[in-house]
Amino acid sequence: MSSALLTQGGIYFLFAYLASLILVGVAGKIASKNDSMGDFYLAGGGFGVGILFLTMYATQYSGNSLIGFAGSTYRGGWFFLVAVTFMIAIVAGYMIYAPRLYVLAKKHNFITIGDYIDYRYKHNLLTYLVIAIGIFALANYMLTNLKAIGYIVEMVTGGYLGFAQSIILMAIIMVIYETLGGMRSVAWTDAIQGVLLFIGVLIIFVVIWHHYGTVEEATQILQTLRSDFYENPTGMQQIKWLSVLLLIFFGISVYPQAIQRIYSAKNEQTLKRSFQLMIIMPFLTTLPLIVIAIIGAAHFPDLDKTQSEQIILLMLSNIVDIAGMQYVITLFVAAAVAAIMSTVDSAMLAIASLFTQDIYHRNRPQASNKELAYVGKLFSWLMMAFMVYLAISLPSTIWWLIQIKLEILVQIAPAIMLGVWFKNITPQTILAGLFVGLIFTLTFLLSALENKIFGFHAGVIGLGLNFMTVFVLHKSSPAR
Amino acid sequence: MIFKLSFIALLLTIPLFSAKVYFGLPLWGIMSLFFTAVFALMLILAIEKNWNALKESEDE
Repeated sequence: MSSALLTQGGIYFLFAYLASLILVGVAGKIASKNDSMGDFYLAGGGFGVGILFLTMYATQYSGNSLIGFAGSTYRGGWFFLVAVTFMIAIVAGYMIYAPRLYVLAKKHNFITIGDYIDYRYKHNLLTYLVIAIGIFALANYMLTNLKAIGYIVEMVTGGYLGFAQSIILMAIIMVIYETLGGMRSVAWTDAIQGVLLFIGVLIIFVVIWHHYGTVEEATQILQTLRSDFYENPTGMQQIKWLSVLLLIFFGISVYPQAIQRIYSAKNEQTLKRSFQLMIIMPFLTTLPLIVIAIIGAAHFPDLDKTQSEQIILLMLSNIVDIAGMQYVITLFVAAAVAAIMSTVDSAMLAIASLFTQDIYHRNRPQASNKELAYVGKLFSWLMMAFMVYLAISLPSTIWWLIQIKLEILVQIAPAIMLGVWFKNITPQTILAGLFVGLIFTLTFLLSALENKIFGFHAGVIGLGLNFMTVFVLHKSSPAR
Repeated sequence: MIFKLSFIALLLTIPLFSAKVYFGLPLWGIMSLFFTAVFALMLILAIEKNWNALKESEDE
């Protein structure tokens, strides 16, 4: 316990916070209106601006945003300013399809992305393929975040809770509140987690700025220590910037859990206001994290990759003797745990809805609401158990597989974005593009070939070929 | 339409300027942040002004 970053009081606070999430789950259960899928997976489609914005915010900002962004900035310098841009570009991605999809979703009671694909294309193979890609991406998202929470809780409690124990404890808490109240519980806990994340980042930013000095002071040190941070951008870096923007723009904006939240909006006005608030948040969350990491790079040079991921904790623990710092560290840990949990629970709910609505219900249309609710909850528990097992035991040699999720997910963007705009596009055309994109991307990612082509991610080039295939086939289609 | 024009601002966020330092940031970083802010403002406006144009449903 002596090496624990959290004091005894901090650990108790963490446990109290986790216990409160179960109470929120119970409240979600009490507030549920009926046994329908729409009520469980979309909270009846009645979220106002406050909850909708906070659940979108907390879901989009994962553990990676809090821990990984700082580490990437520490290693790569100012180049990671691209994260501020791409977090905003995600909303531009929503704007391509959300205004139209929302109208359709309300009219036809969509619950999942599969509902839309089935409605639009009426093609089983395409629908199942999109669902499979969605589940693959979400499962990967869950795995990385579960692993991250295991490391964080083990570290901050000084081993009081081990890696595996931490993952199991967090997973049980999440699956309890998720199966109690569905989307309602997940979104309400997201709201708490979103507030924690936002306040946590801002307070940590102020504390670090105050104790470690300004960016200008850090720059004077870094120009000697890390002159690479201040070199003129190269052509390859410019291409990388563009490639990252394209990957995030088309990838993150079609995440199934994001689409589920779009369906959950009470009305267009709440959706519009939530999007507008989401556009502001990168300046208040991502940018402060980048500045913190730059200041950290000046004061803690020569960290390896693993250590650099802990740069914020390192900076905070180094000034732990200052009065009140234990509270700030506790706040940071709570914010990190909150960021991760809000991402995992949303991904889990989205997978459960995809399985229940798009696979089970489609194959058993006569199933009652009660049966569907039971199947969905049972599936959540089984899937979470499987994910926990993988997070604990998956060998690091195949861990790289999870890194490719976005490059695969991005291939479903044409089906969604073009589908809402061009009513004459046939499912065969979309399917052909999807296959071309997937085969090209997987060929580069799974073989010994370089997975960057002229500096672009293979998935981005695959997406370009995907779009081109759709365009050529659509133009040459006799149906036009 | 503001939404379409916003993509020009998005493209201009690519680091195109030199790394000469001002206020602790390389110039290209300042310009990227500037165009990101412009992109953000245009997007907020587009949501307000262009939403109806973007939602015209094909489901008629």
